[in-house]
Amino acid sequence: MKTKGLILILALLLFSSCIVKSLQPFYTKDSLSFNEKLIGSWTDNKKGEWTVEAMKTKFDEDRNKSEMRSKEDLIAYEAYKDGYFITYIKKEKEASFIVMPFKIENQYFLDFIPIQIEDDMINSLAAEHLLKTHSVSKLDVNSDAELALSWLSEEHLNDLFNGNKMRLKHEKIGLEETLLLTASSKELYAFLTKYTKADLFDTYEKKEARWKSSDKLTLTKTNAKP
Amino acid sequence: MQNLNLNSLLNKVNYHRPVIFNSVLWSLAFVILLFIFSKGQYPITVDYIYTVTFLIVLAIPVSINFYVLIPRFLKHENYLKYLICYLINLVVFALLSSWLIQPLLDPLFPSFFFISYLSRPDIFLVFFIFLFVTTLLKLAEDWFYFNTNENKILKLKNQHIETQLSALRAQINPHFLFNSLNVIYALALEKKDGITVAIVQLSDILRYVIYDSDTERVTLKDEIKLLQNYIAFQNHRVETPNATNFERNITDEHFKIYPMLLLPLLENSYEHGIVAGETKTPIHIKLYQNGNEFQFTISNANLNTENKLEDKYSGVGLVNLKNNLNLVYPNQHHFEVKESTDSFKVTLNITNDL
Repeated sequence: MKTKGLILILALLLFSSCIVKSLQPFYTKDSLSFNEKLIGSWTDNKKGEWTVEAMKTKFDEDRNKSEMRSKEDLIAYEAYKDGYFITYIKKEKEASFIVMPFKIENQYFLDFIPIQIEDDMINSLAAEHLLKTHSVSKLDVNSDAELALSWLSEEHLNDLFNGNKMRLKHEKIGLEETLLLTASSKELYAFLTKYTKADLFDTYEKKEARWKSSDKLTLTKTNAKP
Repeated sequence: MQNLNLNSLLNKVNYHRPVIFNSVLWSLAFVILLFIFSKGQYPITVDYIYTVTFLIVLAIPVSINFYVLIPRFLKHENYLKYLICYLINLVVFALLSSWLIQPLLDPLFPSFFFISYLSRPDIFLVFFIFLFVTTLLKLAEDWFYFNTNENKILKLKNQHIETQLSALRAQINPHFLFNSLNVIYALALEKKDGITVAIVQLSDILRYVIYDSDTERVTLKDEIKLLQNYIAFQNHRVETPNATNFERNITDEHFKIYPMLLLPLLENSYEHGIVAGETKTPIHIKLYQNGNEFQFTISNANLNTENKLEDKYSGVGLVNLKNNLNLVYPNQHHFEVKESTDSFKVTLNITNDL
């Protein structure tokens, strides 16, 4: 797969600092669950445009172009073949993500990691300092034409940490003490499982603080599959 | 002599302190596990809950190991059985813990998140390390108390031996005194000239018996002097020329010997082998010493008086002598009595390790 060298944590810019970031993916391999319904073009309630493609399709395209030969490409294929390639455009700025869908109980989640952005505006040395991180979003399929994405709330996690109620590997980085989860994927998945089971989604509106409701995006399908 | 039953006393002594041992052990385990679970950071509430739960689960296989497997197999040298049961104990409880701890904790503490703790391989490793280390600690604790017990047993035994020896000495002295007073009494009755000399000799003997012999060991030279004094003293009574024939073959006069071992034998010979003015057969005394070997032989005519060893008074001396030998020269002496119709012979061999 072709990737560009410069990577930016676009989520940081787009969704403020309140999204919980993690060094490791939030899913485990056996929890992956591909949902065909996401494929297509979507427009969110904040005028962002989303193009969702199956990674497998992208891989097949690259393979047809004979661009996928190396061992690294095969490893990437194995790792991401059950995911999506999402292109997000807002205010004419474009970014791409690898998004891995997974399920806990009957609830869908999406693990986001940025892979490429428009790099005209960023200094190359500064770009070398950036590290891509994962974020996780709860996915609710309201209908065939409407999706809702809610990111994990840093505020509520901080409440758990500050209340001495959670032992989950993490760091507070920088002067702003930004939360960075350093736990393994298995631990993150275990955390999400308990977080999900804590009677969360049935009473979502009442407990919206657990998920970043201010950044909740409602996606509406704009056209047929690309 | 009172028969002191040391074993019955010692059986009542138990130096194990299971409460102290377990308190120290589990406090230490708590601190170590808390440190591990808090990842070296300041422990928080959720760490305490997890640590306590983990310790409770861990305590089960450790206790089984302590109070069933070790006493039943390891202490009876059934090493293979112990190893098998040890591994079963480890695997079963490590598996149960990896399955049950999280499902137990989550419903009990729904608002707490026990996430970054032990994975299944980690649980196995921690269980293995704890079982191994606690086994070593238990064995060390057993050894410590065994050692303490042994030392106390030795001290008790020594105390008993001292008590017995004091009792034996206390019995020898009055017995000897009565015999001697009888001799003085006989000399006084007959108004013999030698009575003053006899009193001085008795004084020397008593000084030795009462003061000088009150040590663990004396030299052979002092014991021989005692015998000589005693022979001279008794000769006032028996009035038999050449009543004794005293042979000595000694390489070291400073050879150490337990005091007052020989006098009761000499007393016995005078008591039962000599009748004043009548007996022709002298008392033969042979004293041999070379290196660590010592031999004392004494023989006298068998006059068929009261049975020597069972005699109500003089017999006390011989029985005490045997008790003394068993206490101070265990497995290092040979005491033999040979009695025929006309002679009575006692041989005492001692090997001195000191």
